[in-house]
Amino acid sequence: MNSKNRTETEVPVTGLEAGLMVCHECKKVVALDDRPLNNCPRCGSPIHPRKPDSVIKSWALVLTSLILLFPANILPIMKVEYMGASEYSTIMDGIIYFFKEGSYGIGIVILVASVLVPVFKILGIMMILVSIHFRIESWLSHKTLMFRFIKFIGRWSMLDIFVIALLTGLVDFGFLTTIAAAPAAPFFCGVVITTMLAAEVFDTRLLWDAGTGKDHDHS
Amino acid sequence: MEKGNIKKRKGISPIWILPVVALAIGGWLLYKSIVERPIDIIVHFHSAEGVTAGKTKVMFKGLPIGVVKKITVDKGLDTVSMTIAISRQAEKGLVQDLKFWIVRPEVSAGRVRGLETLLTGSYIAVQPGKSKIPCREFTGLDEPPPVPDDAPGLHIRLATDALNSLQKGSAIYYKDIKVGSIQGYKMEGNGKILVDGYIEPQYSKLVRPGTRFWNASGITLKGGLNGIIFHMESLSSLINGGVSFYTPPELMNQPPAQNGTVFKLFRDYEDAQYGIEITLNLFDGESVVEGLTKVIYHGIEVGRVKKVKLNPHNKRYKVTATILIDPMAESALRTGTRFWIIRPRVGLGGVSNLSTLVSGPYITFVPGKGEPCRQFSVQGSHSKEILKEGTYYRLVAQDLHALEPGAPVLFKHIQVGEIAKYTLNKDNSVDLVFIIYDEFQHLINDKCVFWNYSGLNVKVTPAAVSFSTDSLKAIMAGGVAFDYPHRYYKKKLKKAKAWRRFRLYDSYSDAVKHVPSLKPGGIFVQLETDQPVSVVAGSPVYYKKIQVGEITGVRLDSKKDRIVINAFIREDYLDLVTSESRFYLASGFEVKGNIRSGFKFRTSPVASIVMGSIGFINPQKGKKIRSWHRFRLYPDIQEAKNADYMPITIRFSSSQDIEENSQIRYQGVKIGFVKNIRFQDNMKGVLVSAMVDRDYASLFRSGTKLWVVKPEFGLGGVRNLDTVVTGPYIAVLPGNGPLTKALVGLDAPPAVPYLNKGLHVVVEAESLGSLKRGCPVYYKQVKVGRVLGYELSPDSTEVWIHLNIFEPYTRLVRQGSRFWNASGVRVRAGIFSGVKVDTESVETIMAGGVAFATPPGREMGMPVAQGTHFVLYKEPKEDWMKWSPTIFLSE
Repeated sequence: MNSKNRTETEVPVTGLEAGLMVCHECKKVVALDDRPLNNCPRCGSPIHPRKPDSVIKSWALVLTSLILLFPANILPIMKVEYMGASEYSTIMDGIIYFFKEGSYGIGIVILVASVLVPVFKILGIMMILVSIHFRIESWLSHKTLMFRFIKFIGRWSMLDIFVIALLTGLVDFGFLTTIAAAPAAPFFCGVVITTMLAAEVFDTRLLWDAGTGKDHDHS
Repeated sequence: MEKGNIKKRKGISPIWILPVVALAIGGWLLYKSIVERPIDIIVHFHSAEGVTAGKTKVMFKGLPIGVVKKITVDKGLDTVSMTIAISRQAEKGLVQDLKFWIVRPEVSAGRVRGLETLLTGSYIAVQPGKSKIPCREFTGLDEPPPVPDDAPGLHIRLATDALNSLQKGSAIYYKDIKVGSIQGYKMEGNGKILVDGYIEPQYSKLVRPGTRFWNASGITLKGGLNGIIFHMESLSSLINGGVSFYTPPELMNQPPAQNGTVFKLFRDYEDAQYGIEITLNLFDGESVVEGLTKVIYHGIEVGRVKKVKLNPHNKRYKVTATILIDPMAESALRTGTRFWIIRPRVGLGGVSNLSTLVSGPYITFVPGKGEPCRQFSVQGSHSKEILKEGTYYRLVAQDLHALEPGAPVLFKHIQVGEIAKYTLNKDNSVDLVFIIYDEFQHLINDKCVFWNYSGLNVKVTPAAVSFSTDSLKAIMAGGVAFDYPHRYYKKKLKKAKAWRRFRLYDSYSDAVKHVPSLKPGGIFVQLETDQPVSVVAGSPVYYKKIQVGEITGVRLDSKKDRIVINAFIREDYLDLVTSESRFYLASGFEVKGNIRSGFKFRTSPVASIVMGSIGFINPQKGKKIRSWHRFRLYPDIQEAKNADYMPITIRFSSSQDIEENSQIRYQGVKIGFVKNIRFQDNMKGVLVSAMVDRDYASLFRSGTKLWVVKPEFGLGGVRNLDTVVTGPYIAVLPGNGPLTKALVGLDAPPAVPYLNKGLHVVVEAESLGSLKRGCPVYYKQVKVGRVLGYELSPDSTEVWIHLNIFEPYTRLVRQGSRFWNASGVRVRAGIFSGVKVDTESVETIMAGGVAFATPPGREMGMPVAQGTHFVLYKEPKEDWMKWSPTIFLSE
């Protein structure tokens, strides 16, 4: 791969190569030495050169979210009881409703936040994981950027759940109108949480490690 | 730098539990959705109105069991097919005779249905079938299906001649509770209509074989002049039509009705009344109203007239009434039972059957002792059924007047008998038969004189009420009165023989004319008036609402400009009428009062309302009068009471806001009233004619001041507020001149009204300042008097301000007293003394006032006489404020 092209005279590119680790919690730099040291001498938290089992955990979480994505989108997420007649709507129903009503802005926001973002996150993380697996060296910085973006938008995917939680609290007029969460809500929560966790457990440095031919994952 | 180490780990990470769990849940959901996937069925409807694909649900007993997925128009273009996804739970129910229909909101004159769908949208309702053959394609119904015949509950049939507004779906009510519904109807060969009814299981026990069903559709309006029955069923049945039923308590012990029982559907509630039907032949149908005229026995309603029909062939009984009699009165229905109609009657002897005036005539009966019977004839109105025992006599009259069977025979206004019947003789005279009840037998003797006592038949009198309507005339049926000469009262006379004939005189005066000895002790007086009167011969004369006599005649006097009324005063009350008695026309209604004291509404006895009456009062003792003494008749009691008021005239230069009946008051007490107001001859000013009580005549002297008291609004306050309500009045301040009846009024209240209470002092000031009438006078900041008024001193150099010091403060004013103007606020400022603000009271800031102080010791001096003059200083001297003499207010 690309590592072949690197010259031996290059300065160490990673801390690991320089024999250094960093504490995940307090960011103390610890020398990687023969002497076993499992905990950060400063804050006492376990230290690893890379987040342990990062890729595997990410894979597991992202696959979970991929599975959960289906019930989250197929099952109804919100129940509206109006004069005793209950009506269920899925996420897509809501988006279609807003588009039909002409509220394109809200429709797009929900579409992006509730459908596109989770899908994008899952696909994005999977892509990164696949690229690590196959040690693809190109677009490394772009992938990192994408990952940062995924991490950033992670919290925004909760918008739908947030809206439903608000409506459930606000619209409770007994027989007149009541809004409640429907079966898809926990699944949707699961999707968001697992994608966020997947992003959390993933160590971006692995991308570079893989790209530069170093393998530290199974640490 | 500390050294860390790198460990290698082996094995599968426990994190893989998560996707496995997710996969398990997903798989289970997938499995469930496959197992529970809805079954698609196709239902054909005539119209898909109100049905939306993807939304409209299929409801079974209020629970959704499916949803419409797709709507397509069938090939023939006359039906639509709906693809409906039915929940798999309902799979077993999808059998051949499953019934579908669309429930839409339906509001029409005929019915209101499916109102709930207004909000939730239409839905498709399902009625389960009984078949076992599975089916996936159905034909929907346009209307809800009837309740299946074997559904639990009671299935009955109602036979009727006309459907009225009944229709499929109309409700069946029991005590206005919906207990079932009409399922359908069909015409029988014989023209009868059989209506299928369904009673819900929990109510089916209410129906017994004897249950009465009636059509409760809408409003029933029945009646005539005697009254109207307005019966409305529930609003829903008004729109929807409906059937009500009830079971007479007597029939509740029957076993519950069986399925398929046929009941008669009665036309309405009255029709359905349970009772024993009898027929009663009547002479005419007057005031007998279907459904309204009651049968009353000893005051208890025991039946009602159900139907009235004409008998064209029966000359005597032209009308036959069908009456429903309460079963409890069954024992009375025997051959001997006699029926008759009770109608209201108002006579001078009293009002009989007053209740029938309100409730309308009713039918009553006297039970007979014969065989049970269901057909009766009413006892004639030519002869009245008499319920009391007595002896019969006869009367010969020239005219029947307003007499009718049942009319009372009166002795001293007590009913002692009644007219039984009358016949027309060949010589056109009228023969009357009457009965004298047993207990009054002793009153009848050969000396008795009878006269017609129908007061209202007198047609004379100007301004008399004329009764022209027939019905009212019937109400006013008269009676027969009789008496016998007074000198026989003490003697025992032989009782007259039964069936003896008496002559009936037309009136009392007629009788007296023929039998002068009849005239009782008493005297006649004459009442004279120039105004129309509303009394007639026979009208009572009251003294304190007790009848003491009556009017015997009303005539014009010889000059034809006055009306002379002859009144007879009975012997026992003779001493009440004296030369000072004042007679007045007593009207039936009297409203008395004013806003302040409230209103009093009084009515006189009935007779005086109808005929008018005359009353009299005795304001003072008078001499005994002789017969035919002439009295003046006052138009009303007020005039009579005020008759001895003294007329005075008051000249005002302007109209002064007073009007007729405005009061004249002296120190707030009413002593007279304004009678009329007119302009003076030269059109300058007005001349007020007033009547004042003679007791106060001494107040009206040439110097007497009269002025109009009106409400006043000013900075200093509001005065005479009461006159806003009572209206302005004329106040009187007596003068000292000779008595007079022609007075001159002041245009403004007098500057210095004289008060004969308290101490009157005059203070002399350089100028008036802000003092005004009514300003307070203070002593040690206690209000002890007020400013009465002011005037310029005779030489115009000063202002004389008149003060009134109230009792008991008069002794505070001594010769040494100093008065000063306490108006406004005094502010004195000095470098060393600071600022001093001084005021008597808030009231003086606004309106001004006068204060005074009295020195102690020898300087005090003696109490002053009325009208003493003092100087009014502009402000008090320092040491005056320190004066604090001991003065006892009362000795």
